[in-house]
Amino acid sequence: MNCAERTSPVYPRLSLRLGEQGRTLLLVELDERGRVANVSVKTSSGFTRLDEAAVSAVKGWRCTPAIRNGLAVRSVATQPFNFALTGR
Amino acid sequence: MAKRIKTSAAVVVLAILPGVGVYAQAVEELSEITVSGAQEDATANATDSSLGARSPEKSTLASKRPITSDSTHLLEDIPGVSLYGAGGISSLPVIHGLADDRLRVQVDGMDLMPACPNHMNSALSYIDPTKVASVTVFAGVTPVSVGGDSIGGTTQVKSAPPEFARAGETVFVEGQAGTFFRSNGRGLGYNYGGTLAGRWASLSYSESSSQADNYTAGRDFKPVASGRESGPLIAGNVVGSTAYHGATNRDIGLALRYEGHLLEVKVGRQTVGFEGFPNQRMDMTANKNNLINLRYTGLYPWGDLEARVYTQDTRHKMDMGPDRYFYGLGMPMETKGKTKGAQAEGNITVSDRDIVRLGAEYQAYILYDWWPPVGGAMGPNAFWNIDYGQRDKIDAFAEWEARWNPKWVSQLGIRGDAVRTNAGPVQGYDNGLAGTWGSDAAAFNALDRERTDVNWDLTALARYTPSDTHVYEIGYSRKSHSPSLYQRYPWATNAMAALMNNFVGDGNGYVGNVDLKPEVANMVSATGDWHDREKRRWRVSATSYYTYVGDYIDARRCDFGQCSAANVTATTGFLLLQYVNQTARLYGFDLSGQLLLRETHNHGSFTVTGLMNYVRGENQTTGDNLYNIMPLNTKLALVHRLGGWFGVAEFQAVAGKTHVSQVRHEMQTGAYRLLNLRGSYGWKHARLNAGIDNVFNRFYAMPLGGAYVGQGASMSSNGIPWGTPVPGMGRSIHVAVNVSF
Repeated sequence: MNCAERTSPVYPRLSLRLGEQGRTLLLVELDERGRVANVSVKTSSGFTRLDEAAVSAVKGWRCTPAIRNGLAVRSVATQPFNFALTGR
Repeated sequence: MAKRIKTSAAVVVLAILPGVGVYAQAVEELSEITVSGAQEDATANATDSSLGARSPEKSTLASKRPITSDSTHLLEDIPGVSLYGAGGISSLPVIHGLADDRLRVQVDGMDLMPACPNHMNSALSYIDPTKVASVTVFAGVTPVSVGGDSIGGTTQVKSAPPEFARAGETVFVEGQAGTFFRSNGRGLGYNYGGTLAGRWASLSYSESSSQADNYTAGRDFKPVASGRESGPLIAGNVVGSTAYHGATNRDIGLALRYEGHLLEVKVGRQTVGFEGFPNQRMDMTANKNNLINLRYTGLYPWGDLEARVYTQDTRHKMDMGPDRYFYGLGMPMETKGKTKGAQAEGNITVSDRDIVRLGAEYQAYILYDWWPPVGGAMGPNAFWNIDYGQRDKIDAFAEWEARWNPKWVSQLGIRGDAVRTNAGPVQGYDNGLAGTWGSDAAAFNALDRERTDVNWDLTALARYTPSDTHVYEIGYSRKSHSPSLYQRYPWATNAMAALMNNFVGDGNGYVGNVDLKPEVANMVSATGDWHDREKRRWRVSATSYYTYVGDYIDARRCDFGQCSAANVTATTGFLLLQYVNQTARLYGFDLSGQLLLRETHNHGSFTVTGLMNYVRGENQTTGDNLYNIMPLNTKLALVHRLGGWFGVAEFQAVAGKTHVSQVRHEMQTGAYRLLNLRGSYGWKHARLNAGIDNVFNRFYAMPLGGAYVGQGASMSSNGIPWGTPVPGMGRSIHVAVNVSF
């Protein structure tokens, strides 16, 4: 999977305030045109806010579709995000 | 192999996902994206990291915290800050030449009030240094949201925010314990505490205690003599009445959180068995202080809200300590103070550009200050120094902060407060002794003593960040401070009684002035900060300021009541003074900077840090100098970091104090230079601190230490020698150990 613009999620302000951190693993599915067709949480960070921030960021990605036998096909990948706090 | 197994597992997962059809290949694993953010302190005010705020380096705070017993000392490396000397755990902070009541000093958000004619129980004496997690000083133009009823700036000292279990944890448990020893004065102390928390609730407890004997100066500065009648001799280098013991703080905290809401209650009790004051006429023989601090903070779609109610109950006793004449029955003095406060502040995010802060505060303070009878002319009744003193304050403010673009930030604020003070009628020990007590009491009782001041503060600040290597701030403020009860209501012109009313440590006696008006300060300040892009290799920061204070509360020689004609014309000796409104100006600059000299993997980093402060204070009405203005002073330090090691060699140079207040007979002090060495090594669960202060055992007089009246017949005006400033501590070796789990 080749995504030229993997924009990072914005750390939710409430999570910064509440000290929420953790690792979210997303399952990202691209359609034949390279658009993000489906995003789901495979492993939660333990905080819905962080998971949603990750999902929201991935939905805006722009990618190049996978090619098989010369044809663009749907593809899928796992994308880990590590939300880490400093100052604690 | 490991990767293949992972891929296979992912394919299995995919097989059960809906909507997943034909794929180009097995599930690919993309590289991890780290999203980092700085945890916000839930206790922090929104302005903490913004305009005008200064904090000590974290490593400096960590290296000083375990070895001092006085939280005010944690401020001393902040540009623009100096300290008035007082008792061993209760120095008073000074910002750009303005001190004590002229500053707003908050401990965990509470505006704590001293209940003592000598301000022995100052606000920062109520938090043990080991509890201090953050220090923020607004030294220049202070935003109205953190200012109010102060003309010199704001100091915010906070304990650590509550800890909760993190994701994946059901219970969070932590604890820590520490102890320290200082060789000079044999200072000893301990602290311990712990937290037990779940995801939504957190319970914590902490306790700390410290004690010390009298400290010694670098050499003899007075003759060997008894302090008390037939008492043991006090050596020439021993600074009398600097001992303290039984200074214990206990705090329990409970915090509950749910989503973006935090409710926290802290209950604290401080007891002090004894604390000597070398620049006061007597010592603190007991202090009991109870605090309840209930706080709510919540995040909402429109911004955040913080609200607080708190109470402070203080019982305070003074008398002659072991280094002073006891006069048979001593001279007990007692105070009882009660403070109730409430605050609410909303930070409203109006748009991406604009934040508006709205707030209201209320504080009610009641004070009783009485001196039990001891016989003779000091009986048969109690002396009422201030009876049913009241100082009630209500404030409201609005502040607008706009981030116009990445380069420009502006802030405008307005704050109004109404301060009402009053005091009940008083009595002397024996009003029948008209010349000693009765006439003064009658004159005071005949006055209309209630005063209400309506004050307006204005602030305009701008920050310009032309690039990521320099920042400029410029600002103007108008700030006000209403007189304290101890400036308006002490009524006795009897020398002994007036000497007991003194919170500046100059050894003089003070008489109040009911007609005092609020001080109004107009200040302009400019700051430039230059640094490398990472703010790591070098940085230089410079601030200059000019403050014009209308109705500045200074002092004039007392020429009425029992004050003598000689008191007006004297050129040496201790005096009787009365507070009076005059005009003053203060101006100066402070410089700070750092430079990374060398950094290698094997030898760590070597950094030079520097600090220079200059302030000048002039009374425009009389042409005199303002009292207790710190002379030009610098600090230069070499800091070495390597793994868990943090070492500092600190050189301090202070110029002589020659600009002294004539009206108060302030004493000049000489220039001095000191070398201090501090080292600290941290392991995963332990930290060891050790060091030597004043390595060469230099003798020096503290420029802001006041007059030495710490031994002998301190109850009478000139029964003890005049002309000796309180000296600083000679060489002292310290060691501290802290463990955590």
